[in-house]
Amino acid sequence: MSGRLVTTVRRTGQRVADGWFAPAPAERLAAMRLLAGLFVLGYLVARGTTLWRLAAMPRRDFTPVGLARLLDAPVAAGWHHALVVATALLAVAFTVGWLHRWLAPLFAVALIWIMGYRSSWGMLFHTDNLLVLHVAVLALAPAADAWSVDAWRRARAGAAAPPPAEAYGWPLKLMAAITCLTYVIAGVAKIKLGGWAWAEGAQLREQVAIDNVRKALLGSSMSPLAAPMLHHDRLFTVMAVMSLTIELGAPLALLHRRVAAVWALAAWGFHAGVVALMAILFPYPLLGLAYAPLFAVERPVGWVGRALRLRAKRGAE
Amino acid sequence: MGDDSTATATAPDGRARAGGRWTRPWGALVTVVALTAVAWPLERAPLRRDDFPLSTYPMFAIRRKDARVVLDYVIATGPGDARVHVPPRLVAGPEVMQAMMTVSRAVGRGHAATLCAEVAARLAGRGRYAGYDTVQVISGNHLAVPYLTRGERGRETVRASCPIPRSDP
Repeated sequence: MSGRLVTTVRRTGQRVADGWFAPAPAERLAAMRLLAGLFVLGYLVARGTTLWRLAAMPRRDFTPVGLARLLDAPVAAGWHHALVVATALLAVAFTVGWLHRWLAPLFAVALIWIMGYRSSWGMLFHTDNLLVLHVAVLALAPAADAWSVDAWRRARAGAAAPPPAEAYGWPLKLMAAITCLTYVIAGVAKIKLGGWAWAEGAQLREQVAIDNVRKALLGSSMSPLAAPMLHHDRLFTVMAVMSLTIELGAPLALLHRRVAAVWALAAWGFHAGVVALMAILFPYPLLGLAYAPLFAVERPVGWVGRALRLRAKRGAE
Repeated sequence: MGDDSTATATAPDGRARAGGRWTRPWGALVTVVALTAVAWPLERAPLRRDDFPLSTYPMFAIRRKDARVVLDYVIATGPGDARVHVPPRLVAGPEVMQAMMTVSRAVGRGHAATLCAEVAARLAGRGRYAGYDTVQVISGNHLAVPYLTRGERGRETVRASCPIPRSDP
């Protein structure tokens, strides 16, 4: 009996390991690197001024989180500005896949630092967490073996394109698992703080009201849908149940690509709802990047790449 | 990193191969460390021990009695009940939550008058605020649902009040 149990456990373990390390094309991991890199570059353009001006924040407001906990006081303005510039340059190297093995880990650390520093002034920005975790995984994986400067240089030296390999599969599985895990943690926090009564929707309704009133009082734009929606209690029950189902059911997305598609669509809808009701933007999931590791993302990225090359070729003619 | 799992070797057939024999040990190590780290906040108190990037994700989960909003904020007032809430960029910066923390800390530390004067100086000369003559730092206590659905304002305490400087014509 125990022998059979051991065999079953061993076989199951082997099956899980084989699934986790299933080969994937180098282009799939490279597509994720490109998407995450372009997102960071866009972020740095959009939020560059905010990041730059952190150097002028009053010392008394410094509440370090993340890597900034290593500090007792804010870094000198010159060092901060140098780090912002270095992060931007490393982001370019990461996106184009140049010296990935050496520069990508540096980029991941710089990004974790700079994003953590942004959250070290009294307000934690949860919108950035998944992005930096995904970048950290990509930095520790061979994500520049295709569609990169490194790959182009290897091709010039005579090396053929790499075949699908285990090394390109597990980082995507890990990124997908991290995405799902963050949703589970958010669901558990609701149960821990509000109990299962959170599913009744009253707390969600109050949260929507509070968030919008806070924005109105602080002179920021609030959702035009919030006030009319507050008259419909049952809608909030439906939304609360759906939120908890999406969050606590997230691991199911790892089992099958079709389940993943349904879950990703539902999770995207959840974030779209947050924008509609609270004007809170989670750009990384809303652009689909949080869910991209669950899919064959190299296909749409490849189409875009081919279309761009074709356009450039026609322009040159 | 300590191994060559992120390097690409060239196989005898001329095709590059990633990782090789170190792929599984390296992948397993990164996987276990990453998932353990990300899951770590599950054992923490969601509100008190939130961090970055390993978060307890407490947003939308916090329970507030009566949906009451107790908040410090800045308004500009003028003749005949004219009143507008000053936007974050004129209080602290583009981030709404940072503006909230700035006002809250100024009130908490007795610096409301200083903040009031700083904001008033920023409003001076801005056409949009031409109809307003005073800046006030307010501590408000409002019930969120009636505030939004019926426009019912709660209790407000003026912490500081200062004129918006005007240059003589």
